[in-house]
Amino acid sequence: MKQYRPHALALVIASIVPAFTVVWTVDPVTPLIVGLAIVALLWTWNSTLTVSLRALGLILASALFISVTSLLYAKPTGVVYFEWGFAHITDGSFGVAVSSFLRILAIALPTAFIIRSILPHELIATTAVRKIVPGRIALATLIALRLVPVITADLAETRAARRAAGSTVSFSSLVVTTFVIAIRRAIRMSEIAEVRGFSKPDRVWLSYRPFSVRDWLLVAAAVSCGALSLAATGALGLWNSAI
Amino acid sequence: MRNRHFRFTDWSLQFPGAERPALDRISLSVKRGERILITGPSGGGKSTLIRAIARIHDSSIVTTSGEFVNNSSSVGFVGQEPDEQILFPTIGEEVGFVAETAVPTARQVRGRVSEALKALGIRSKRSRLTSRLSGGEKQQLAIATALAGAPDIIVLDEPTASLDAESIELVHAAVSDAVISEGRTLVIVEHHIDVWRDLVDRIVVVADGRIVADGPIDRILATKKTALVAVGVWVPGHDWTLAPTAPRNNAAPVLSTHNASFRSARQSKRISIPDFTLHEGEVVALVGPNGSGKSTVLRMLGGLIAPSKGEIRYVDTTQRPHRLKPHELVTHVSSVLQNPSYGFGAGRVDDEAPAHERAAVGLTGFDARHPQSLSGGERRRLALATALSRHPRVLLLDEPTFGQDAGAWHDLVDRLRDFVEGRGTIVIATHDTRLVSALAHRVFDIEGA
Repeated sequence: MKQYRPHALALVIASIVPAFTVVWTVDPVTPLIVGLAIVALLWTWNSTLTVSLRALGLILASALFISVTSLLYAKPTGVVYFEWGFAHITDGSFGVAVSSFLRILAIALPTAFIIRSILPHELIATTAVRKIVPGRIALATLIALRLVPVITADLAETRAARRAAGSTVSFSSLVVTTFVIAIRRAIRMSEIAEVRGFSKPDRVWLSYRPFSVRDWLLVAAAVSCGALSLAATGALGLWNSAI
Repeated sequence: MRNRHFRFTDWSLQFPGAERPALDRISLSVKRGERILITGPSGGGKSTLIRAIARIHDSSIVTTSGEFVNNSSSVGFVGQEPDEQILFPTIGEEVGFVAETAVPTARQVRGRVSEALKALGIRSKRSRLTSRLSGGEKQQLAIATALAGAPDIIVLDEPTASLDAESIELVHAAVSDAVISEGRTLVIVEHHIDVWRDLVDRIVVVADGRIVADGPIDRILATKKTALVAVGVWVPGHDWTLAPTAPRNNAAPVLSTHNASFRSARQSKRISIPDFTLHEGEVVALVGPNGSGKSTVLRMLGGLIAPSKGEIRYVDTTQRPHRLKPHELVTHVSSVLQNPSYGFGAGRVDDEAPAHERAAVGLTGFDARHPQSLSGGERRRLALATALSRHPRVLLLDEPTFGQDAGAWHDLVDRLRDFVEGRGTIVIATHDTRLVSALAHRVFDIEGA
């Protein structure tokens, strides 16, 4: 029996639920509940989802940086524990720092969790078939994905060619040269794409896969997690409206 | 008229800013099922013509006059540059892109993709990343993609220029099969007529934007041989061999290698340089199949990448080449990379290399042109002229004869022989056996392990 793999679009929708949830309230409890719930949900749906240590480290470092900044520079309220120039550590800034830390984790962790499992072509084909974006934009996005490693190679080749010519390459010169080459390459590639049927109607999207019942259930469960976390925050009297 | 695939009548095409038309009042009529080879000197208008047949030119940019009637319903086009042929991140998406508009169901699309990949002998998984393919593999994939659309005309622009002998055979077999079994029309641009002679039945020679010969290939080659040789066509049967050059006796060493190798993470293999000492006035050729690592060896020798182990030494410096500053490096060695476009820094050809060096490689009359606007063969010769103008002791060349007609090829070889006569040392990575015979004193077969 073929192993179930969640649909790319279902994973994306589930992972962005926390971002919508934490818009409503700035308390520290909502991101904690919804973040944990969504990560647990994604894990339950597909235990092969993994997060790289590098991504985890980056997220933690970013969250720490933002929360320390909030701790020092958020609007001072309540008891003042430390003061130096513009920097204040107060009761209020502690709250904002903890809240910021948890909100960043709640938004970024689910995304980091699914990013390795997303098949870009499946996601883009689905958005085209479901008419979420026009087919030409979807195809252009896929071609742009191909350009990323090509431009990376262009940068390396430009650096090598300039070194071979005896020139030290400044960053700005490297960027300008690579940009010119990339534009030229993009024009050539768009010509090839057109010859191969870029504009033809009635395309059969080979990468398209319709939602299964389990994919719909994943989306419904994720939305429910978001709604329940908001309800819990309200019931606990911790609601701190952000709107 | 319906049995005609396309017809040009007194048709001209001019690029913006150009002093004269790239194609000048050409008349050409092609019937369905014909197999035509277009040849002629570099920069003569072959690629412009074939791109017009494939309907690639943007009609809002170029100026055209005369009549062009095209009855093709679908075109399978493959160009010269492998990286510009590949549009998608994976092999499956690449071939599927064309098949998705050719057949009505996903099942049929999958069938088309499998057939096209099988025809070209591509056994990789469909999820394999196209960025991991070698230049030859990319070109094979581009041909598979063209065939996946089951086009009624196949248009190929020097499809085997960057391929080794084995890949050329594979491409030839696949194109032959696609053309013969379905009775498709074939239009192919190629300098080396002998590669396709058994498949094509008509030859069109384009020079200076005009058609100078057109007719059955056997008759044209028999009756116009001298005229074709004069415009730089590689006519089969003509004696192109040049007497090999003799190595210099008691020459001083300039470069030595010891146990040097490079571990390629991208290709998961180790590329080793044979131990050797190069002397003044010596030419060494590196040969081997596509993806074997010839370019990587040149880059190690040229100080562009560091060997993972072992050492490379130029005799007049104690520094390793990859540690030299760029201005110090060029006093020892000058490298011409496979794609010369990256090295051009000037906006005009005459700012890239001095006139005498350009003339020596047969590059005259392009002074005000932008280097990137030249044809592939011309760009390679300009890069060589630029490298020679730095007066290096060692010259490293990566496939310098891609896209060269016979005249340009001889100009290039003559200039390299002059360089060697003046005690210059050359290392060439190439598939061109004529070049190896004409220049090389020693040949190393590179095989990545």
